[in-house]
Amino acid sequence: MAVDVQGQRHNRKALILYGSETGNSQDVAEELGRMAERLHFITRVSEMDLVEINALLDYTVVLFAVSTTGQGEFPQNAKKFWKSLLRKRLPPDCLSHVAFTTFGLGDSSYPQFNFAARKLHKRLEQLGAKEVYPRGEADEQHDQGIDGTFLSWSADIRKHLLSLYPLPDGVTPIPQEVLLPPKLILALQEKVPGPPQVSTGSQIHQANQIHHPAVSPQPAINDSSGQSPGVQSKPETPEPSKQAANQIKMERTPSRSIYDFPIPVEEEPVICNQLREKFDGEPHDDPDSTFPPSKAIVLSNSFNVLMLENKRMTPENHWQDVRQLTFGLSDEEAYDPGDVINIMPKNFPEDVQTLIDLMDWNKVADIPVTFVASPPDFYLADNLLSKAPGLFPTPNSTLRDLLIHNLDITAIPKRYFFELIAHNTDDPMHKERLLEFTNPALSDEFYDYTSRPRRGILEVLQDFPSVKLPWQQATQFFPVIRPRKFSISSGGTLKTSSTPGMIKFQLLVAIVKYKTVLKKVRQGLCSRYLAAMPKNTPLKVTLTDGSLGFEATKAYKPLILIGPGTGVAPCRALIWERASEALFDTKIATEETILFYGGRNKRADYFYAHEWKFHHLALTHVFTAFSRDQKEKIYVQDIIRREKKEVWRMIAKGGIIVVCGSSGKMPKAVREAILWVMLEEGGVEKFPKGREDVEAELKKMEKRKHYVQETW
Amino acid sequence: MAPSVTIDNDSDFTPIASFPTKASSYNARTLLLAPPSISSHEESLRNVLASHDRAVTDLQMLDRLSAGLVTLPDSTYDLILILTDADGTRTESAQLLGRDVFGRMVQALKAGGKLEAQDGSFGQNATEHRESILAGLVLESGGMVKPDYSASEAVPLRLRRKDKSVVSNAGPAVATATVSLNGKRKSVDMVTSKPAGVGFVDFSDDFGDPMITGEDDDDELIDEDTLLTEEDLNRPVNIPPECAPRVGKRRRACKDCTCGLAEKIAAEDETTRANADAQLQTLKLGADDLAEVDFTVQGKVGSCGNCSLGDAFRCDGCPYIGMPAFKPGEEVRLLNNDVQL
Repeated sequence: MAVDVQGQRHNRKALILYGSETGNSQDVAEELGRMAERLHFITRVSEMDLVEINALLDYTVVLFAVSTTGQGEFPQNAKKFWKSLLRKRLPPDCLSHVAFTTFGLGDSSYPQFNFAARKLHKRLEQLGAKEVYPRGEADEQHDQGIDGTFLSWSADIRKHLLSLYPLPDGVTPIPQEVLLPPKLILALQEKVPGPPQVSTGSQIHQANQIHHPAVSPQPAINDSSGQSPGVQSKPETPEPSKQAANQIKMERTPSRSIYDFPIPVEEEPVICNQLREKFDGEPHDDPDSTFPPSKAIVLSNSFNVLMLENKRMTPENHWQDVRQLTFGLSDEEAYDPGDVINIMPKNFPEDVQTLIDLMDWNKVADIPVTFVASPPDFYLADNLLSKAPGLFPTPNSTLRDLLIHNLDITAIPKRYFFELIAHNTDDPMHKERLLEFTNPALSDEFYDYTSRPRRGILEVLQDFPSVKLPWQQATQFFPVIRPRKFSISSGGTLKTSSTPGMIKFQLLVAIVKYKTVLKKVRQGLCSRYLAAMPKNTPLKVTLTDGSLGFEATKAYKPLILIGPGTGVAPCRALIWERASEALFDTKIATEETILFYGGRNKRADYFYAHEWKFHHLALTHVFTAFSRDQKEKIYVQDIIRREKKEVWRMIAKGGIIVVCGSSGKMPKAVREAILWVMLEEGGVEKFPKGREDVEAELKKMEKRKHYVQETW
Repeated sequence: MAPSVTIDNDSDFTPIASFPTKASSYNARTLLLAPPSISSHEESLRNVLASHDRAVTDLQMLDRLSAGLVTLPDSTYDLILILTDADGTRTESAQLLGRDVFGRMVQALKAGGKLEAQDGSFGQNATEHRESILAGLVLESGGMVKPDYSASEAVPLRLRRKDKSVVSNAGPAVATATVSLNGKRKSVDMVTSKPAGVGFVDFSDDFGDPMITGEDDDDELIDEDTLLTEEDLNRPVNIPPECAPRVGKRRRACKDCTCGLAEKIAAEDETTRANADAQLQTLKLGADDLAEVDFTVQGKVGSCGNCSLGDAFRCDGCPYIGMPAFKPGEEVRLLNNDVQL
């Protein structure tokens, strides 16, 4: 464990691993990382999936920050690591020299509160790792949210680490007032861009591929400013199973129909060749447009799509704006009901210009930049990250490009942001106020200034005009834009397009727009992007496989769909997909399908009401609940109970139950309603031990994918 | 010990509760594994399905199982049936039945469950026979059966041993490791060589492999649901004393608040906004109006004098709340409720 650093032996190495879905655990991990650095640990902060289990043995202490997501699951970027840890053949004391603890982020309104962190902790102990400090658990439901627990837990563990691993004589922790050296630095490219300068390695070639690139290595740093060469970041891992999945999908999903259907056929562009052409450089953007330019970020496993239609589904006078977006893509792609499209929104050029003006960055904003790692002797070479995780620059990226395509300049700032910018102002009054916001004792003020009104980073900077940030550290100040996920709402013959070589997919998107105490109306980043998107805009998206299971898409199984609000999207995909099977064989009759749909007002948000009447979709029943159409609130779970006989009949026939929509209270209430129905109708005959037996049966159904939840 | 039960075998109704202590034939669950060619011959699929009770029959694609895209539930099926290819042979399915697939199928079988082919030919070719035996099945008429061991489940043998020796100065060697092998626990010697004076753990078999390879799919995983015992689940959340909600601190609403607190807070904010707007109107800063904010004029200032400094400094009743910071004397324009500076 001893390492040479600057010619000296160094025994203090800390590894902070995180599993994060929305970034909260990542923030916690980074905070712990800074704490460890200040205690003179050589610190590495990384998402769990980028680390191999045996790496744990190289560190003095390992801290885990893990969120629990979905139904007690691990976040996406920790799943591989977790699976690897579960291997039966790992010897029981393979981690006996690992000192660790965990901090879990969860929500106590879920029954599987912090399950991921608890399971992780238990498994690590099973493998011999030693808990060096009691684990912590944060609860969203707490008064102060995650901070409520984290602030004091981290203060305590800091004291503990200092006493367990005391600093040598004469060495004191780096004080809070001293800013830690920056790790993610930009530099201007010295050379004049001639033929495409590879500032981001081999990724230009990737942009040319719309088939599935098997491997996308992270770029080699083309360092022109004379820093140490050969600084590589970890290659992204290939996903062989994804290739296989897509191949299989293509076999299973035919995209042509011999039947005529009452689907309004829009006039479609003949620009389909755009989908197959290389997609870097400057596409045909209107220079006068205020919409973000279409320059594509470089992202592995992504493919080009074209926005064909942007149709509002709720009445103009209704407060909620819900859109149906139709996209075209190459017919070499394929998708299934339940699959999810990930869209990376962009910032609007005028906002970016506002920021550039505010920070006096105009002179450097349009020169291509490269990413420089901090001095290699501070970290070990294989731990160096030159770019923030999740950052996928466009080819030949300039600072402006980063601000438009990659950095979330309108995100709500975290406490650490205030700490950083406090060091970048000369105005003592501003500095004092900024530092007050970082003070945990004044957390109400921080909350009132940022979260409550949903104030963004750009707005904060406008409030503190004395703050001038160095452009070289832009990627440290602004979080990375995260993709937004949308369940596909089309299937079966809805995929067909009259343009040769193209198929379609549709999304149902609720535009996020609301007022707070701030004068300017709040808009979600992706909402604003999609709402303003003009027809025929090309963009790059990725696809995540859904988890509805194979059988739900097959017409031979009866299906109970519960999809209130935008949850109707994957339900609609399933309905159309199943119906298309019958098209190819007149002898196939689609088994019964029933749909439970919930909204607020029948006149405003009863989406697809007219489609459900189509005979070929074979919907036996559609049961609706509109919560605000009458005095008392009626929800889908109430209707499920009302229709207990019908529901039970379908379940007894071996029906599959699919629940889609927003996570939180709805899926819980629906499951409870189903449980109630089973108990009521099944009675003592089927469930002698009553509720206990029904619970057991439901769990079995869940394992067999006969009770499936797709919630967000 | 299991309660006696009368099962109503009426054709409209199939019992779905199962009692794990008895392998009762009327609760038998079947898994059909279809080779991909069948998916384009729906008719063959229909024929097979017609002869099985839909309520207790599951269908999976063999190629998806082979690719690791589906997970089967443990110990669930009494019968797993490999369907014949569209062309009537078993060439396709035979190719997809790798060692890992055998492992998964066996795990999904109940003790005493059977693995068969639709055409009755399972286990008859040498490869299938060998793989089945290695996976822990025994030959019985027409198919292979998972024996009912009361000890551990059958485990496929891992015969790969990489030659790398990874040395880590992590501490004393692990002398033996236990490996479950067809129901018997077997000790495997883990230490292959020992440099003088330094102990090490030989991870050559496990950690020599890069973590993320296709081989991981072969590995059996423990059931993570067994990790948390009743005790773990009921253990109270560790809340350090400093974190207990303090009296006097303001409550915030939950994300999907149903008690009405979220509405209450939003209403407060709305009132604040409305009051500020009203005050701005009296200061003649209505929409489309241009007005110069002159702080020397009586009435154009909030009580603290910090109006121009931004929300971070403004006091509660400030008419300029919700607007960005500005310089006194600077024109403050409000166009369509959007502040232009």
